Amino acid sequence: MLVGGLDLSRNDGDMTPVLMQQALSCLPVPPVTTDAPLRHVLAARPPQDGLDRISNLPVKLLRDIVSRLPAKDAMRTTVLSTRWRRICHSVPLVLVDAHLIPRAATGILRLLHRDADPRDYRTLPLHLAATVSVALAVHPGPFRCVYVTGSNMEAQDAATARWFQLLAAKGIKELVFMNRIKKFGTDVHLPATLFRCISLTKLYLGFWCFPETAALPRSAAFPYLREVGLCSLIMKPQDLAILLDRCPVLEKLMMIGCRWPVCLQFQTRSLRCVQVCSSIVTEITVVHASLLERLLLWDAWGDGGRVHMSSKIKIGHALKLRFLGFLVPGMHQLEIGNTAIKGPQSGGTGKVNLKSWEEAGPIECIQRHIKRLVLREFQGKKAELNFLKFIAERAQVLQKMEIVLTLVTPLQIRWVPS
Amino acid sequence: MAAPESGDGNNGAARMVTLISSDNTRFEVEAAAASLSQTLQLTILDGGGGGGDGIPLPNVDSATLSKVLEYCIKHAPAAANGGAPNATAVDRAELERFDNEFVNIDQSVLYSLIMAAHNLEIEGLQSLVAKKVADMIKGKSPMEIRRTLGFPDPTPEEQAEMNAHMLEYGWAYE
Repeated sequence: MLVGGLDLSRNDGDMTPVLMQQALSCLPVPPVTTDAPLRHVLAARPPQDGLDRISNLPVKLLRDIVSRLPAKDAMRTTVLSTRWRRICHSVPLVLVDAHLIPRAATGILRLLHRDADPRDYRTLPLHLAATVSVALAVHPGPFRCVYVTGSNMEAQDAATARWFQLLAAKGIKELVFMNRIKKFGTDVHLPATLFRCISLTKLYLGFWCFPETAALPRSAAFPYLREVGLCSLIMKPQDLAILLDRCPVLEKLMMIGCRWPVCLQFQTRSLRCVQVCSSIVTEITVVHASLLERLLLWDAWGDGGRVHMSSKIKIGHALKLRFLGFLVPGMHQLEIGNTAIKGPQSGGTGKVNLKSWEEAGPIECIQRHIKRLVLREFQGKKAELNFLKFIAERAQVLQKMEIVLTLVTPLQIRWVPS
Repeated sequence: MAAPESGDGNNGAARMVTLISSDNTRFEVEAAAASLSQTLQLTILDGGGGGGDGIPLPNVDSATLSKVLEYCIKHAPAAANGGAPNATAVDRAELERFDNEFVNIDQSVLYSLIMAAHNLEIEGLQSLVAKKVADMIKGKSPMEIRRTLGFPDPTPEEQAEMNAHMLEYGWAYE
């Protein structure tokens, strides 16, 4: 049974909004908000004795305070006094384009105490890119994080190029940059200046053409980059290989809506989590990944057309691997070590009946080792019931079976062995 | 029996320590709560603060210390569990509600609390009070921030500077 979701065979033009929503919902949460839950009545009042103590706090503490402000609030503190200005100008700031949307346009969201979020906009706010340009340019100090998710960067090559120069110069650490295109095929190139942002620790890019890596100097690398999200990029497989090769401490790799058949091979000492969603995956080979804990596939379709879709997942040396899935019987060919893991033959229909389980012969793991079984997204279909029956009759040391129904209140059934 | 315990409380009664404020008031508190302070933690691990000794805190007055300890006592159980992983959503919501009320205080108290959190290196409290001040500034115009923090009324030059700033950096004021 295929997990429901995207149909990649659909016309590309229709896919963009779906992939865009999916990509936007996978982004990390910005570290500062415009929301101020600790603003109380008492705090709104001037101090009882009329003395300004806060401005006289040690520099280290004032810096900590300013670093928690959205960039535009920080900008406003520069006019309070010379001390505040010096502090603000040297603090690494967080710039989120959603915070720059004029208040008039976000009235309802503010009433709901929610930050403006570009995901809520069907029509993107006008001139947002221009405001981002100004904000990036005027802050003389570094930027800790920049989140740009609300601008269509087509025909804005000059702005994009300038931004990356500024980001590289200002030691950007976390960058989220989504190009809000309306349709595939109108993509814009990221400048190669990206590779000069060497202090990056977190990088999420969406709906861009990734720069060519062939001409990169050998020394070009992201020595601190721990987390990468690639959302619907146009990117050559060799460019991805080079990118991964140049990230020596990369822990988390997320890929959504890849626009080429994904064929990945990992030989890594740092990766802990790999996630591939809404993509065609021909092969993933984990040669050696000593820290890999999770290999997650969602809507990862095999290659070879609708009838013979197949996708190879080979796990070599990955002792810490705890989570692997979702795998679709008949489509994903799993190989662990030198052993091919065979699911029941589906006979081409995609249906698995009790007979096919019985034909699989005795399975030692089920008979002797399985103590706890958790089945989520249970729909009550016959194939699922057959599977449960098969397990219940054979698993000799099973102590607990948890079944969580799909789309309804989770239901736990405790099975007591007789 | 006098051997220092790590505060697991496995023998029933938890180990207590005594802290002495700058104005010589003595506070007896569980070692686990006082250990939220990085500054105190080492002394306590070495067995200090027990019996009649007490640890003197010359930078913290009794009003502030009692407020600080209120925070530590509330947060100690969650910190002992290693923070978030074991805490339920209800526990977390309760702590959040407590924190929220805890910093609903006048600025003179807030200032003492910021300095104490800094001196005693209590990580959670440091970030709570910094967040509080940031929240007091968010969404306000420079004039409103001045009023909130208790600045004197602006001189004509300062007023002119604020106006000019607003014109030049319109994007930060929309």
